Amino acid sequence: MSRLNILLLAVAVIVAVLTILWFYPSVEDFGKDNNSWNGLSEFEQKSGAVSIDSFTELPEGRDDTVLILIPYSAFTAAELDQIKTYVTGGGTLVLLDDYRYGNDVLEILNINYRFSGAPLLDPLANYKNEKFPKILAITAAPLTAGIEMIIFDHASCLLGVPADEIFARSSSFGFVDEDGDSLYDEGEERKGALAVIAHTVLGKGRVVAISDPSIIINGMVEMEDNYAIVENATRLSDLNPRIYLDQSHLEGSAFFNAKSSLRPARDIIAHPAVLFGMVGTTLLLVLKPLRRRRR
Amino acid sequence: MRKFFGIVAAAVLIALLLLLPAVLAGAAPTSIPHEDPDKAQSTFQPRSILGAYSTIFSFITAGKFIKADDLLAEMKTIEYKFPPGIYSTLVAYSDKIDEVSTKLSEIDDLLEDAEDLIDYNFLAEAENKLADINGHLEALDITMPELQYVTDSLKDQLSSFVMDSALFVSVYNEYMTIIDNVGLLRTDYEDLHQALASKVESVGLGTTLTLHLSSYEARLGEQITISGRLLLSSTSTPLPDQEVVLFGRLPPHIETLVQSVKVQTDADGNYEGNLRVPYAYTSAIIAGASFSPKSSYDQANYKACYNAAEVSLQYYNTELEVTSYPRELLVGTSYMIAGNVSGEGTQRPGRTVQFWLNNDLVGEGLTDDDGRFDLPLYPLGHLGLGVYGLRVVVLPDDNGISAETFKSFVVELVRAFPEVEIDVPGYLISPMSGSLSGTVSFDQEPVTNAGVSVTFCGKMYEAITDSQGDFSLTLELPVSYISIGSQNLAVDVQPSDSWLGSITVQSGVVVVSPLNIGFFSATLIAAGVVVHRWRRRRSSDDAVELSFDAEAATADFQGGLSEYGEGVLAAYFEAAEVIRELTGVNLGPNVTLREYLREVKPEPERIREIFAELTHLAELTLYSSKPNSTDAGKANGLLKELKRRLISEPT
Repeated sequence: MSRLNILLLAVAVIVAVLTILWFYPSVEDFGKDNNSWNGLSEFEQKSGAVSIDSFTELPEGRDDTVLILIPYSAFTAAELDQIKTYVTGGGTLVLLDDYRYGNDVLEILNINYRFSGAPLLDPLANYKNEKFPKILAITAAPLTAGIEMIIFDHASCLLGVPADEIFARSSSFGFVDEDGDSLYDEGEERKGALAVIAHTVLGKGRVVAISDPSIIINGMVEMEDNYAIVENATRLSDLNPRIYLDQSHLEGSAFFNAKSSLRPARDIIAHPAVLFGMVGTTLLLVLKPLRRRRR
Repeated sequence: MRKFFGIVAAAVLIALLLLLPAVLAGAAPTSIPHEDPDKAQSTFQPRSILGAYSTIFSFITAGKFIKADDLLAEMKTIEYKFPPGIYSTLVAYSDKIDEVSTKLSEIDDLLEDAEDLIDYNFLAEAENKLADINGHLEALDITMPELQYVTDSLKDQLSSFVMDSALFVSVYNEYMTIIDNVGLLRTDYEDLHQALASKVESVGLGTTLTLHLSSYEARLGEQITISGRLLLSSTSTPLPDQEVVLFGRLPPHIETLVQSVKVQTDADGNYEGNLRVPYAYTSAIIAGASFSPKSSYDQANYKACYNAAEVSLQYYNTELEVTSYPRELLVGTSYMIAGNVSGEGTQRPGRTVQFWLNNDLVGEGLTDDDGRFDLPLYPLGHLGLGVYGLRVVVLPDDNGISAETFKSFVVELVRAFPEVEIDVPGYLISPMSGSLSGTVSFDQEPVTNAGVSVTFCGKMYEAITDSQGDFSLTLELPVSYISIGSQNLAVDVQPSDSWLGSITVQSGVVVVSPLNIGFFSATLIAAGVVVHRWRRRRSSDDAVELSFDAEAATADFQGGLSEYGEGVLAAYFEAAEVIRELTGVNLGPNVTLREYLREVKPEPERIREIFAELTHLAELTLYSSKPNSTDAGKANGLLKELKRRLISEPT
C-alpha cells in the first residue's frame, strides 16, 4: 500500500469517526436531543422551547419570555449578571435544581431561600420507593391551577422559604437525608412538610424555584402533573410565552464535549468560502487525469 | 480501486465498533442524581408506617388533635404498596385511631366549653355539655379495647417485615398513654360536674333575672323588646340601679355574640330595652339578659345571673341559578352572565346582582320582572392574568328580609390576541432584497404602535405598526447565506396594549442562492465526468473480451497518447493476441494487464519474460511516464523476438 493510500485511508477514517460522532443520537442528561429516559426531547417538543447555548441570546425587558435553567455547571460572574438583568428586566426564570449551582443564582437575585443540597426522601408518599416522593400538598394559586400531584425523582427541597411563597410541599413524612443512609434518624431535623416549589416576584420579573430538575426528563415528564406545573410556571406572565431552554450549564460527558467541539468545525465548513474551496479542490482532483491526457 | 474501498469500509466498521462502547458508557448517568422510573425498584415501608402511627399517637397524647387529624387525613391520601392481607387491617387501624382521636378532641373541646359556661353562669347549658362529655366517655370505653385488638393484629402481621422491636414498644407505649389520658379526662369530667353542682347551689342563693320578650318570632332587622326584673333570689327583693346586659347571639357557641345593649334597672328592679334582630340567615337566635355585679359591694353581696330564650327568625330564602357564564375572560372585553333569581317572597324583580372577580367588583345590575338577569361583566385592565374565583352575588332585599345568596365559579383571565395578516414575497434570490408588509388588527380595529419583529434566515428585522395597524420592512439576504429552498419566516407581534397578547405567525419563502447552485452544478459535472470515464473504460474492456482485436484495442487507447505510446500499445496487444492463441486465455474486461500476465503464465520461460517485459512497457505507457522512441523500438523488438521464438520453439 502506497503512502498516498495510507494517507487517504487515515483521512477517510477520521472523517467517518467525526461523522458518526456528529450524527450519533445524544444520550446526555437533560440533553434536548436525547430521546432516552434522561433527555429533554419530549419536553422541548411539548413546550416549543428554544434551546440556547449562551445567555447573550436572551432578550432584555420582555415579560413574555421564560428561561428554563438547569444549573449543573458553574456560572461565571458575567453569566450571573446576565441572569439578574434578565429577571429584573421582566423575564420569568424557572430554576430547576437539586444539588448543584441553583443557590448561586438565588444568591445573585438576593433571594434568601436555598436548595437543601441533600436528598428529600419520603418513605410513605412515594412512587415505587422513597427516592420518588409524591408531592400532594399543593397551595391553590394560578401557578398550581389544575395540579393535583407531582412526582419527583431523586429530589432535594427548599429551605427558608417565606410561607406566602411556598406553593408545594412534600408530605408530612418527608425528610432530608443528611447522612445519606436512606433512613430517618433522630439527628435529622429537617422533617415534615418541606417546601419544594417556591414562587418569588422580583420587580417586573419572577422566579419559580423547583427542587428537582428531573421532573421534565422523558421518563418523568408524562407522570401525573409534572409537565403541567412547569407549563403553568411558564405562563404566569404571558399565556403565549417564548420559552428558552438553557443547555450551556449541563454536566457534559466526554461524548457530549466531543460533539459540542465539532460545532465550530461544522460552522467553518458551512462558510461559503470554505465550501467553495472544498468543491474547487474536489473538482481539480477529479479532472486532473483529463488535463494530463490532453497535454 | 475496489480494494481501496474495501479497506475504507473495513476501517469505518472498526471505528464504529471502537466508538460504540465509549458512546454506551457515556449514556449511563454519571453523577446526575436521577433514576429511570421504569427500572426503579418498588419497596414496602412498614417501618415508616409504624413510625407515622407512633407520631400520630404522640400528637394525640399531647392533646394536639388537629395535628393528629391532619396527619391521619394525609395518610389516607397516600396509596400504599402493601402485601396482600395487611391493607384491610391497616385501614381498620387507621379508622379506629381516627375515631379515638375525634372523640378525645371533642371531649377536650366540651370540657373547655363546660368550664367557660360554668364561669359565665350559663349553668343549664353547662349541664348539657357535661352530659355530652359523659356520652363520649362511654363510647370510648367501647372503642379503646377495639383499638387494642387491631393494634395487636397489626403487630402480628408486620412482625415478619419489621425487626425493630423498639418501634413496636414505642407504638404500644403511646397507646397505653392514650388510655391513661382517657382516665385523666374522666377525672376532669367528674371535677367539672362537682363544680357545676356547687355553682348551681351558690347561684340559687344569689340573684334572679326574669325575662319577657315582646315576640318569640321575628323577621330580620325587626326590633324586639326584652324586659324583666332583677330580684334577690332568697327574698324576691328588687335590685334597683343595676346594669343588665341585653344580648342576642347565634347558637350554639357562647362566643358568637352579635349584639348587646346595656340598660339600668329602675327602682322596682325592672329593666327594659330593645334589640334589633341581626341579618343572620339562620333559623333562630338566642336573646336574653345577664347581670354581673360591678362594684365591690355588689360583688360581695350579689351573685351573677342570666336568662335567655330562643327567637325564631323569619326571612325569605333566595334561590340563584346561573344559566351561562364565561369560563375564560379576555381583559378589556365585555361578557354577559345570565341567570334567574327566585325565592319565597315577592322580591324577585329589582334584586341587585353583583359580579366579583376575587375582591374586585366587575359588574352589577338588577333582575327584571321575572327575576331574570343578563348582565355584562367587564374584566378590568389592572387585573393580572391567571385563575380567579368569579362570584355571582344576589344582595339581600326588602330591608334584608330576602336573604342574600351567591354562587362561585372558577374562570381564567387571559389576554386577547390580535389578527395578523402578512404579505410575503414568494421567493428571494440572494443577494437581492424583498419587501414584507402586513396589518395587525383586533376586532376589525387597527392595532397601533405594536412592535413587530421578523426572524428570517438567521436575521432579525423590526418595525412598528402605524395608525392603520400596517407595517412594512425590507428583507435582505446576505451573500454568505448558503441554504436553498423554502425558509421559515416568523413574524412576532407585541402589542403595546397590556390586554392584548403577543402572537407569532409563520410563513415560508423560497430562497435561491446562485452561489450554491454553482457549487451544486460543479459537483454534478465532476460526478458526471467520473461516471463517463468509468463507463468508457468498461465498454473498451468489454470489447477486448468479446473479440480481441489488437488493432481495435490499440485504437481504443490511442486517444491522448503520443506516437511512441501508440507503438508500445500496438506491440503489446499484438503480443497479447499471440499469447491468447497460445494459451486460450482471453484478456477479460475486468482484468488488469498485470493480472492477465499472472493468469496466462506462457511457457517456456523466455517467452514469459518477453511478455512480462512488454506488459511492463504497456503499463508505463498507460499509467505513468510518457514513452519515448527507445520504448517503442524496444517493444517492437520484444514482439519480434516473441514471434521468432514461437516459430523456432512451436511447442
